[in-house]
Amino acid sequence: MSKWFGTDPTFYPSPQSAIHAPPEKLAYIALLKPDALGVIDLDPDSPTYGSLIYKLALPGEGDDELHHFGWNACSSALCPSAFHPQLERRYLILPGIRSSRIYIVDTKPDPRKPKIIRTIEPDEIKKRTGYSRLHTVHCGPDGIFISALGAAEGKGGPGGILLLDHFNFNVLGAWEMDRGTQHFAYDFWWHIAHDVTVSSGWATPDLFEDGLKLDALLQRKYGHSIHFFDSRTRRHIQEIDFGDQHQMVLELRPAHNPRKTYGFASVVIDVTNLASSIWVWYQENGKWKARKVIEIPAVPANRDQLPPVLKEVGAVPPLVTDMVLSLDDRFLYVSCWGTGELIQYDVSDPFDPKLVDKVKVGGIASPVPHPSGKQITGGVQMVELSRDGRRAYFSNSLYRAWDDQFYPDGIRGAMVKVDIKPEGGMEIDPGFLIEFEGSRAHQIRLEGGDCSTDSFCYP
Amino acid sequence: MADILFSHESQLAAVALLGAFHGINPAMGWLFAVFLSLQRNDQKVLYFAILPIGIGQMLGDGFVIALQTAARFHFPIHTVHLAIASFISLYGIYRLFRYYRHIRWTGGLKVGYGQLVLWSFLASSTHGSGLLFAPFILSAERVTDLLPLWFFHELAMLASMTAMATLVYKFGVHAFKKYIVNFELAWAVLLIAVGILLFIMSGGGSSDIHMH
Repeated sequence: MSKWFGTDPTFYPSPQSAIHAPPEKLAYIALLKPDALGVIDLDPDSPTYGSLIYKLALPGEGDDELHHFGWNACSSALCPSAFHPQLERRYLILPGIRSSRIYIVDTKPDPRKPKIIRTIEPDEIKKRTGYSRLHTVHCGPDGIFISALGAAEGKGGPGGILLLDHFNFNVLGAWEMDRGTQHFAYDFWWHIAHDVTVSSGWATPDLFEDGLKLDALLQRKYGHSIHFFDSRTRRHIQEIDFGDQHQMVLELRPAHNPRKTYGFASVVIDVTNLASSIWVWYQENGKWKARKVIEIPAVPANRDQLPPVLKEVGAVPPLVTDMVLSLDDRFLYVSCWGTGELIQYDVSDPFDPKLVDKVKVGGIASPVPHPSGKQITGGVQMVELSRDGRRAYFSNSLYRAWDDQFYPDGIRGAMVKVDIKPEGGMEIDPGFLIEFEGSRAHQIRLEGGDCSTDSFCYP
Repeated sequence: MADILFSHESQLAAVALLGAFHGINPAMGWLFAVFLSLQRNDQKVLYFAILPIGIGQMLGDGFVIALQTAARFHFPIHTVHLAIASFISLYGIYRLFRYYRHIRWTGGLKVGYGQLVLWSFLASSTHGSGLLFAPFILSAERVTDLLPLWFFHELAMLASMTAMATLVYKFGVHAFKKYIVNFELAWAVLLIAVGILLFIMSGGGSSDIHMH
């Protein structure tokens, strides 16, 4: 920490400068059953390229169920009012969505063999923040921000955002001063240069922890709004309700360019037609607005190909459950976990996305094998993109209790690589397939940063 | 070594150097100006922003300098000398262990020029930027002796800040990030050094003996 010159080389002032970062040589991946952090070798010159080279077991009592995780620090440390040139992108913050425990994992001195340096137990989180069921991690200006889906006690809400100190990892407390109408939580991010934080809503633990509740879904009880907060005062500014047929608003991907004030939000399912949708939020005359720009329809299927949860509806919903936006804000990648598709859209004009390409692997009905010939269980799920936008990596499992409903034959964890042409167009790398025997795989983080980690203050 | 504190010209040079040192610290303002001008895509904003940042710095400096000066001319010099020396040393030691912390600014990034004055005032006063004036204050005979020193200090600060901001705006923050110095750590060391110097001065000061 007591460096005399320079900032962490992986901090970039602008998205444009981060695009020229060197290619990633390692990835970290969340593994479940049993809980572990996997290290993947991505250095093409290494003899162990494309394989799991280390598995850090998480020793906590009970199931942690890693979901999303993130870095302690990133390019936001170069922002002028929270300038922290001494910070390093070094520690992975691993929250358990089931246990509410946080592991702080040190990736130095050997990034190929990270180790746990601190464990923050659930009781401490609950006592200090009033929250539980931890989810998204963002390396923010002046702290580590983590979303939480539930209240400390019981299985209800409200969920929200909590803060950790980014030097000593002490739990500082709940972030909000006034949550307004916000009750559900899931993802969040910000327009950093505009002092605006956006959050989305999936559900409270009673609605997701034991699996998807079909009755509650049909009664439209899951989240269907996004919320805007003033990052300075931490007060709620505005709610945008997508309409209650749009159930489960998950990923939020604001434009990386700090001058812009638009972003993309994904909705898992429209209960009237089973479609997934992508919405754009934007600012107009000082008010936040949102508009549906993409609708991905459900695909009809034979009853005998469908799991019990879908037998009645006779179709496979796309179940859009992750997205990633390239650093130049040009391509949006959308993963359809139900149909096993990764779709690339050109969103140069965010209000008029153009479908560029699709790749297929897995899926609920007639699953598509990997180009190597191996059959994949599950479908395209957590997707991460390299900073240069040339390589995407995805895993195939969503959330344990939900995996079992939609893929009742079980999911064997896998990580797949997609090569991307500079002007669009994708191809699954037939030579790259990692299967995690006996484990499921969820979020992937790339060494040095990726396209859903850093926020940039300089255009 | 202590001669530098007693010749007028060398005092001017010393305060100007200190001012320039402050000016090139990104956490003291020019980075904010670069951010605002890049965000609004307008180089004029760079200079519009430097002015309120400079005013905030002057107020922050001025506040700490005025406090010390008031103490210097109202209380027994020896007591004030020891008190300031102790404060600077202790603050330096505190910052040595917490140099990476800074005041938590809740005014955000989308600031007006008035907020920039406030930000800069808070950043510079909590940083303790007027503290290094202590040797000059303690050796000054009259308050008016300090005015040109303060003026040159601020001028040098503004000049180096403007130069840095222009350079970084022109070549980009990216080109520059490798060379960012750990100013806060250097600052803590400097505070401790001045504290020690003040203690040494006070040891020999009573009989007006200068060290050589």
